[in-house]
Amino acid sequence: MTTSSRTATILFASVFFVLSIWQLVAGKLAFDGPGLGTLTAAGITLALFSFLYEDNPLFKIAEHLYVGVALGYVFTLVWYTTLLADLVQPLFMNARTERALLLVVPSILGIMMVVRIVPKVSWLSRISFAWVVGFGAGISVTANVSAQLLEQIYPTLAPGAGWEPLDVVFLVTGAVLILLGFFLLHGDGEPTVMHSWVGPALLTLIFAFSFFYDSGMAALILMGVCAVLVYFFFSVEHSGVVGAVARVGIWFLMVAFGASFGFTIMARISLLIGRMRFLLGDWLHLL
Amino acid sequence: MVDRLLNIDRRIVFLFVFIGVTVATLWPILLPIRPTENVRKIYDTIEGLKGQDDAVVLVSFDYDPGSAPELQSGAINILRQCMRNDIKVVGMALWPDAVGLAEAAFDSAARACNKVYGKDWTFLGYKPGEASVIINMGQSFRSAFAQDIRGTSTAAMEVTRSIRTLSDFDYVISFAAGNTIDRTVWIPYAVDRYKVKLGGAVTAVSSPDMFPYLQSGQLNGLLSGLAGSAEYETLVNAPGAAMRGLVPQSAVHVIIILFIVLGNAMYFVQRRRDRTARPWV
Repeated sequence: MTTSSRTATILFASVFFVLSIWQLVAGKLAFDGPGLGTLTAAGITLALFSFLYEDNPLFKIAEHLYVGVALGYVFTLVWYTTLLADLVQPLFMNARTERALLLVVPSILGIMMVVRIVPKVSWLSRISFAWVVGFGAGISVTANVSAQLLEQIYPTLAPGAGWEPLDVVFLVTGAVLILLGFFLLHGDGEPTVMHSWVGPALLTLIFAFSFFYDSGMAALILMGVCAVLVYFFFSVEHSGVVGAVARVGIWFLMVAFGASFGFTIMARISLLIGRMRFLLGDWLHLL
Repeated sequence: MVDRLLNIDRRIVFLFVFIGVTVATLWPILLPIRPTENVRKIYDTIEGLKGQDDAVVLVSFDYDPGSAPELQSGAINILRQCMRNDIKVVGMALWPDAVGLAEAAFDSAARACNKVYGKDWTFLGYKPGEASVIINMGQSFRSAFAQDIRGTSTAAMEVTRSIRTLSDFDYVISFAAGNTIDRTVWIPYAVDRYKVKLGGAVTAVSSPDMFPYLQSGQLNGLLSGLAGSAEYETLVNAPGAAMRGLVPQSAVHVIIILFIVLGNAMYFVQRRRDRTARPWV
């Protein structure tokens, strides 16, 4: 165990014990079921947070505990709500119906999947996996082609699906600007303006205008879709006009990554806030 | 100094975030929250069902306790709004970890609105299979859920008596922490095949993936993370955990923005120093 790891263990354990004893002595937490539950949750929360300082035994204990408890909970739930209710009872406990006999084949396939852990008969699991993969592919291909592709193409392209006059203006302006950017060369053939701050600044202005004016978004989305698709088309060299359009695609990608990063931070901080409200409220009674 | 600022120990950043969350939680400064259009659409859709005797809303709980800070508040408020407007609610779960959260949400809402189990609401429980469950519900609701989590037959309960298939639900709202809305379940099967009207509530990390579906109309409305839940609390006039959570959220955002600005400023300073030291580069 390194010094930092020992420090993390001692620091977080000390904080937990001191504050818990304070709560117990002050009478804000009782030594009963709910009180012990709160103390356990607080202790495990702090043990997991101790990883932020350094990996340490406390964190490892909490991590393994979490995996075990989550698995046990899910297994219990699946047993009572699914295996017992939908398989064991219809087949073995209730009056057997024809419909119940339909469960036999899927049950055998399920058992064959589990025997993968036995080396001598693990080949049986391939039959079950083939069934699952075949069913999954068959059922999802049509659904996803329709929902993810076709349903997305129509509103992006079709003027009848929410396009406004300002969208046409933006499209024409964007095409003109890309061509201008292509023609402003740096002598070595590469459009220099596409590598400077001018393009992203212009894009930001266009976005801000369409956002506050509440119009023109459809054209921006179409420009972005086409530009990003051009960027990911690597069979043609990214130079000249193709390079200029690909550059625009990179800007859209950067904006998308930035938005995704921002939303991810927001999500993770929300989880921290939830835990902090528990620690400050339910454990320390400061709220 | 520049080198130290460029290589700040990440534990310093963690400490600032911790201080920001703690201070903002203990001494909150409430900021105004304006509901956005995507959140308002869900609210308006539910309000539009008010007065219809046979209106039934299906609420799917597809998240785990890890996402509860972002989604649980929105779930409770939507259930309360439905029950307050005398709209029947049927709950289900496609994630096993959501069962406890769903039961807690229904208990809270039903007690607050004096609604009767079996007559005004029910919770069907968890079923594995995700897409298979939806396809099954689309063909025959009773074959997918012959009974609810308490063992009561769905054919006998007043709240589900009129439901034959998934399409019979007037509105479906999915609270999702994973890909159940866009990739695996609701949009590809429920919306595309069975033409249900779908509203979504997702964690903030999944929000950017949902916007294309809002634009195409496959998704009727969207609650995005803690902010979406807070906006919904504003709409239903029920300040709660989400609105209180937005204060530390905003504080941490400011801290992170300051660190990003600092990091970028130090980057440009370092670049200038490098150019000064090695002008031939």
